[in-house]
Amino acid sequence: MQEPIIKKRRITFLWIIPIIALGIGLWLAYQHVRNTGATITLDFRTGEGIVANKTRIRYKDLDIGVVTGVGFSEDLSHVIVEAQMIANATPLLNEDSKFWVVKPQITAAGVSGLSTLISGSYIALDPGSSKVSRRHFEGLQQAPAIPLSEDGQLVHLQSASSAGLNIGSPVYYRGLKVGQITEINYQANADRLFINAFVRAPYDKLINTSTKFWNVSGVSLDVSTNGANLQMESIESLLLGGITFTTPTTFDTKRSSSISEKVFTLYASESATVQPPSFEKQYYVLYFDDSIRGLNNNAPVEFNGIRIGQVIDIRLLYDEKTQKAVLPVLVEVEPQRIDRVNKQEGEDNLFADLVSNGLRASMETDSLITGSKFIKLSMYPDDPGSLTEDRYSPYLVMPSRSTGISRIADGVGEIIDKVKKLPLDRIADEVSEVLGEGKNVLAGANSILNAPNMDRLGTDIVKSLEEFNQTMKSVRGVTQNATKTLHTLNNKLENVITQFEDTLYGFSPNSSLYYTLQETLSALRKTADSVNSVATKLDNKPNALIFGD
Amino acid sequence: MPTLKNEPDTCREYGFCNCLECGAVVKKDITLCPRCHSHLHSRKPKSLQKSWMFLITSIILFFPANLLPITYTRTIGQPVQVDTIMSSILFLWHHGSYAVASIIFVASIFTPFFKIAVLLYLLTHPAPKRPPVIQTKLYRFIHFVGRWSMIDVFVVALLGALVQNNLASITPGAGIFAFAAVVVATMFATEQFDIRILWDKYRDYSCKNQS
Ligand SMILES: [Zn+2]
Repeated sequence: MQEPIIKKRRITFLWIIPIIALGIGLWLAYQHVRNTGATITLDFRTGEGIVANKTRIRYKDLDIGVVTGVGFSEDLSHVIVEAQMIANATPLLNEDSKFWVVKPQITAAGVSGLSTLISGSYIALDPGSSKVSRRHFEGLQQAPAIPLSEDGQLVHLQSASSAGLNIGSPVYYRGLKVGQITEINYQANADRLFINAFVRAPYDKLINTSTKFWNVSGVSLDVSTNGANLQMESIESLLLGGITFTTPTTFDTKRSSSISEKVFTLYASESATVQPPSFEKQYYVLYFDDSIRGLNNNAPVEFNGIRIGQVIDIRLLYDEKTQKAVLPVLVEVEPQRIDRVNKQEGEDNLFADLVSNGLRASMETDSLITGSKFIKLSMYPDDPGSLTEDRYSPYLVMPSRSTGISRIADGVGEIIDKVKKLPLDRIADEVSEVLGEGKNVLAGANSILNAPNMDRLGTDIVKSLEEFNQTMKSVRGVTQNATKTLHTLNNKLENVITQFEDTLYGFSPNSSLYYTLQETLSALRKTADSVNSVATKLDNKPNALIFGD
Repeated sequence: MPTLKNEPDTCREYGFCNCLECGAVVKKDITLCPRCHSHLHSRKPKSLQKSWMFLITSIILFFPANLLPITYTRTIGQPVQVDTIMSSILFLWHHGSYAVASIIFVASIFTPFFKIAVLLYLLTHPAPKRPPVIQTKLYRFIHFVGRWSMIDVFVVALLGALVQNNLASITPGAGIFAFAAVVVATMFATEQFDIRILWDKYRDYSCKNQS
């Protein structure tokens, strides 16, 4: 019989087992604590596709966190998402980190987030470059088009329309895709669209403040007398739209390569880039005394021949109080079309300055055939004025001046008045006599001119005139009266002609009225000439009326 | 209450020892079973100490078993789904599998917890002042249900083996190993516990009170 081995140890060595278990447990707990990173909160506008404990936060397609809770903000205005990040992700949570929900997107620019069709949405993260740590973020509505880490320059553009452009539309430089549009915003207070475009390095160096951007979306077809011109940047731009830019050499004195603050104008086409940008608009009311027949909406407003605006509204008002009909014309002018140099501090309203220096609006006839009119702004430095409040609208009134047709009408009226006032009856007899003699004078002059011995003409005339002068001094007294009358008539005619010339100034030469007036004018001038020659003759040879020459 | 002092009523008091291996009844002073040659012990040696040891082990492991993931489910396109015991039970419950959820809850959470609680009670009250009838019934019960707690481990092992393809795969997590260890440890703790000690203690107590 074998003796039993009596174990005297009171504590069994098996106590090592719970100690090992405890060790493993503590180690697992430590691992867990070590792997648990920060808890972050994200604000999103909607909770679409975000599920607590299911939705992941991913970076470079790897999970770095999980959504632990989704709830409303206190005022129910947005959704607050709580997420537990892993410890390694802590350096990604920076001041400028961006979070957005990845959803399947199929656009012309491409297909993205397709895997989320099966897996459900996830929250993607783009760590910024900032080193300042942060735990609360505003979620983006959509994925940033350009990774924050990419080198390049964001360009701010403004445009009246975004025709054909979308987020993701490419930016071309000489046909090469160098960036894309990242944001399109409408701003109601400025009534225009603000577009942000990202231009990758190194192409961003091509942009300075005189760079011109224009829209190359779709196809542009120009048909002119030079033939047809079809332009299309690329098939992609046909589908996606796009913009392109060039940095021309221009008369721009303020060129600078610092463009982060500058808001460029996005032109509708390349040909439009030659015009200065025009977004600021000012409105003025004009009143014209005469009929505005022929003045339409969109009629140009030109300043020294350069279009700076247009007519946008014409009204016929009847003022019950003053019992007068008035015709306010509302015009829109773009002060930016006038480049301002040597600008003085404190002077802000260009048109107020111009008006005080004599700027006047007048209505001019663009074409006598169609009768269309335009508004002409010109400087009359001797006639300073000022902008005044309009009685019928909140706009300012720009002083106007009647010219063109109305001034012709006025001028003609004046001429008629003056002609009526002429003592025609009284001088008619004298004139007929004078003219009768005048005819003789002319006939004589003609015969002299037609004579073959032309070279002797000058000396002959001078000689004979001297002789006549000598001999006829005695009869001057007799003819004094007739001479005076002729002088008066001549002066009056001279006046009429000057007025006519004034009237015709600036008047379109391709009209029948002009022709007629011209005819009248030349007839008047002929008359004046002959009267003048008779008068001169009488001056020199007072006895010519009696003796002839 | 029968008087136990005068009439011996256990094997030990009759001067015999019950071989714990083969069940042979032998004289008490013999240390080796004449039939199966195993060491003879009238009671399980160091029963309370060993039972405590395994119980403490199971309590320690009970936390990782319930906190750590038991399965990683990878489905194509989906993020990896991580499940703990409780989350899988809740998952089943929310999807209407109330029966299955209840079974897994009872087998995987309630039973180990119950076993640990019962063992704690038995080990902290080793000297009953009343006949330990309820204790014996509880002990018998936990001894019986112990093996069924492994249902979760089997489920995970089966799923892990069956679902292994390109579309989906299930991998066991650290939690299931901890859980299996909990079950094994509680089984050992139960096994090491000798309910007869309670009866011995009660007998000593009642005899002492009678004298
Ligand atoms: Zn035996």
